[in-house]
Amino acid sequence: MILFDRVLLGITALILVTLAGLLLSTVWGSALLVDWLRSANLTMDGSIVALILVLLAVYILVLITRFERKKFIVYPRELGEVKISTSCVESLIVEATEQIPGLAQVSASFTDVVNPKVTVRVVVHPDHNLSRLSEDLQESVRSYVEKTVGIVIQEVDVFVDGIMKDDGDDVAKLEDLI
Amino acid sequence: MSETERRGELGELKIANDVVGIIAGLAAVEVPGVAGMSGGIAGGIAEMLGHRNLSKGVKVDVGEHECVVDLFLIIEYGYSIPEVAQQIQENVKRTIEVMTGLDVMEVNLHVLGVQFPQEKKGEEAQIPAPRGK
Repeated sequence: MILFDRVLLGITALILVTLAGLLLSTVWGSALLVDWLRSANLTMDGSIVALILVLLAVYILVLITRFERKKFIVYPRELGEVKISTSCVESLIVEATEQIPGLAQVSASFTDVVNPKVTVRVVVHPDHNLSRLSEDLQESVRSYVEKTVGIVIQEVDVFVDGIMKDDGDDVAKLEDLI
Repeated sequence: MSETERRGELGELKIANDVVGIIAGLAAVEVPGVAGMSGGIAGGIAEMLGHRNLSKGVKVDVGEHECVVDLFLIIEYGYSIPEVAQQIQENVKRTIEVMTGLDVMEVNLHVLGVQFPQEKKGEEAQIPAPRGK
């Protein structure tokens, strides 16, 4: 979700809360909303408010369709094409890394579907050689995806986001450790 | 309801598009490795309301003597997707051709998710949250 989406969704939430507040205050006896509805400027103000609400509603609909549009990896077969959603491959990648010792948390995301590129973000347990761990991870991801999905990942970028401390769920960010 | 029509010596035979869809759906789910079909949000709501849709996750485009099928699927974890895909395409094509006599031009597959063993009835596997060991 980009910054623009966050800002507009924030504004939508604010407007909805304001409307709810105005309705509640009217229910509890406040004349603020009623006065505004009876005011002489209602034609102008009401039109502006209605227009803003309609625009926000349209934006939310666009947002929904944008989120529904999944990204697919496509490869043609003799009997028709096979499309595999990237979220499906990403969940397989996370599962594939389960066997690698030293990894505490893993998340994967595709950055390119035409020349498949994957970014894997990990939090690791301490006392593991990060370079070797990354190489194991890259090799596992590449071979597993090739075997189960039938595509060759061109690039596997590994980001080590942090180290899992021994005493539980606490994650130390690398910047804090350096 | 749109349908395919054929005139024989003794009368005409009409096959509804939905029937082709149901045949395709059933042929797909009987292949080992297919966890189920994905009918999207509308299909899920309809199913919650008790409407069992056998052609869920199937889109058929039927011409006079041929058809193109699109299937939206969930695959079981542990299976090779290319192998399962090949079997689905062959099984769907064969079944539709044998049962309806239509020529299947294409069987396009859309793999929307993977079902992991611990997921009992989730329709679609989401990206698992970062796991802790």
